[in-house]
Amino acid sequence: MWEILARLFLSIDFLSASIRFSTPLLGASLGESISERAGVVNVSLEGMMLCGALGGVLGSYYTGSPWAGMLCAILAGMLVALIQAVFSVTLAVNQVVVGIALNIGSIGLTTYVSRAVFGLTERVQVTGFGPLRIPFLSDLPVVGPLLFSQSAPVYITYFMVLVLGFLLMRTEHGLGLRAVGEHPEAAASVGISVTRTRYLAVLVCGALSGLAGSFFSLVQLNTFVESMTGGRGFIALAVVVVGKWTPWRLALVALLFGMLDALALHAQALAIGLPYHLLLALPYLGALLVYAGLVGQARPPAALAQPFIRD
Amino acid sequence: MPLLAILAALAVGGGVMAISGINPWEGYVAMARGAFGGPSRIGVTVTKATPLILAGLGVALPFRCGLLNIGGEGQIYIGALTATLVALGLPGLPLALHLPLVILAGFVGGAVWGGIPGFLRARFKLNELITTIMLGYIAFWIVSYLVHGVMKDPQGGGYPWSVRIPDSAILPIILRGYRINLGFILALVCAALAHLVLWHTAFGFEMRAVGAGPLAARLAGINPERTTVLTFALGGGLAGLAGMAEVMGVQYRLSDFFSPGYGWDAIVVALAGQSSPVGVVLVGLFFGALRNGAEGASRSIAMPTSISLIIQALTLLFVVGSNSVVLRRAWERRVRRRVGDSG
Repeated sequence: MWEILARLFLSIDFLSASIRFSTPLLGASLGESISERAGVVNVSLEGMMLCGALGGVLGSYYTGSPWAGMLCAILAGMLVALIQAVFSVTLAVNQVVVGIALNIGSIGLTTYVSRAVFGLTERVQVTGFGPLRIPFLSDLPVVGPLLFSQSAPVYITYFMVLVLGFLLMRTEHGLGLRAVGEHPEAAASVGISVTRTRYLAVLVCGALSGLAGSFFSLVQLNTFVESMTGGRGFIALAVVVVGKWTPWRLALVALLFGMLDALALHAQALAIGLPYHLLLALPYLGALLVYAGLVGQARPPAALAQPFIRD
Repeated sequence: MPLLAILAALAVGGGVMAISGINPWEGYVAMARGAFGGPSRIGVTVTKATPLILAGLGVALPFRCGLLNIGGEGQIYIGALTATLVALGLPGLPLALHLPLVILAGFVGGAVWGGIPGFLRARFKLNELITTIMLGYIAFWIVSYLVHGVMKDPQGGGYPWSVRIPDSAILPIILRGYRINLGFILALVCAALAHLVLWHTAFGFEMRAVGAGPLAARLAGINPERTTVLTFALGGGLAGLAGMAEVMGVQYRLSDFFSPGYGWDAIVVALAGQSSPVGVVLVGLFFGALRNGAEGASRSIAMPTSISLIIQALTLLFVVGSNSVVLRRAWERRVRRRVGDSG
């Protein structure tokens, strides 16, 4: 069994699938880290992703283009984020409770809309994203099939690691955002609008999470299945803490969690003796163990989940 | 206040129906018929409220202690599993002995599954939002594995469910015409006990003190870690009872699809019920009616049942929104200005 596992971990198929499965976790956790750096926690990640998944299918279904689907997914995620922001920032109520409500509402709404549009029995297939081979680079041995034959959403999400890492750590806007999450009173006193910064951060989170959700419906399955995000929004919350709110660390942690999903998928095909239903529990058990084992001395932004109310 | 929130949620829910081409008036009439049209419909409403009240208490008590238990669905599955194991494993016992053991097994199973995130939080400061969800999925797949494998009924026609539980483990029907079973009484008793524990015992005080602030609680001589684990175990146990009640009172078999998301509804029941046991009973009954009504409307006018989830989420949003300090201040300012104008 160990030999089979060792061969599995070194196979290009497995590593390539790990990168693929890490993408939705990375997208959502990048968004959430931006939002948490500004002091707002979005337990509604799962709902944003689920609405993104349905938005992606609807967009592609009505236009025939996965890119239009991706755009709709981003907008759907931002819609959930807007409600979260109104309650978290403007109304200054318990952010976690609002997130829970939005998750349940998203399950209800996506199920309702998909039944209304597609009916009960039919499972409509839409055009999704296939692998996008990068010329020349995809012909390289090992790294070619591994890194340069992925689908467009994978490239976009990993590119965002660089963009957001730069914006967050190397620009004045990033500094302002972090100040809002650490000490909103101080940020406000130097002329930064706490309200505007937090709205923007939550909306960015919604956009990235919506994009992440479209991975399930436009890369993996090319259709919508009820509750298809399967708790990945909550795993992304764990990724943010383990990755210490830093984009490049989030990418590493998301890869680790992506491996768990890939392992469940490949172990099934390898028939190493573990029953199918227990393999499906593996990503969650693994996520729990990784979260418990690696969380270490994580220090969240000081004003996380604290509403800012001007007197 | 929650009453206004429910009305507002129903109004917006009507809007959702209208957009999808269903006349909201007809929709709500169909739902009301489904929930209250005759003794058997009322009976189903009450029966559906039973797990919502039990699992809702399992969220409400930890919330008083500053803990959000969103893994009720997993605790429901484990409670149903342990109860079924005792129901099937000890056949031939008299009902007076067997049924209490089965009920206890449901509580213990849920309490263990709920105690784990409590322990992880107390000992390693792990966020219970993440741990309870992960444990919820793990619980589901464990039960799914068992009912597809060793626990599968050989005569079940291929369905993934266990053999039927013996009569001595069944929660008896107490109101014949309505088909209401003993589980509902159990839920009401648990709510009364939860109220007593919360407001009239030292442990209830400790829970509320830790919820108000662990530091202050520690200064008052309370051990917040111990309180956290015990409260979470108590909450998990109540959710476990919900799973037990559904299998022993309604389904009579364990399967991996017996709960249509009661654990999720329970969160809304608890929070919209302001985490008070009385509120949980009232909101639980309302959401039981909502779920049952939506199923009735799905049969009569083909309305998707998920409308009940949408209305639940809206109710919670409006309840939380109405607690907003910002809104209250703006309102007070307006009132003050009016009074100033007239004077």
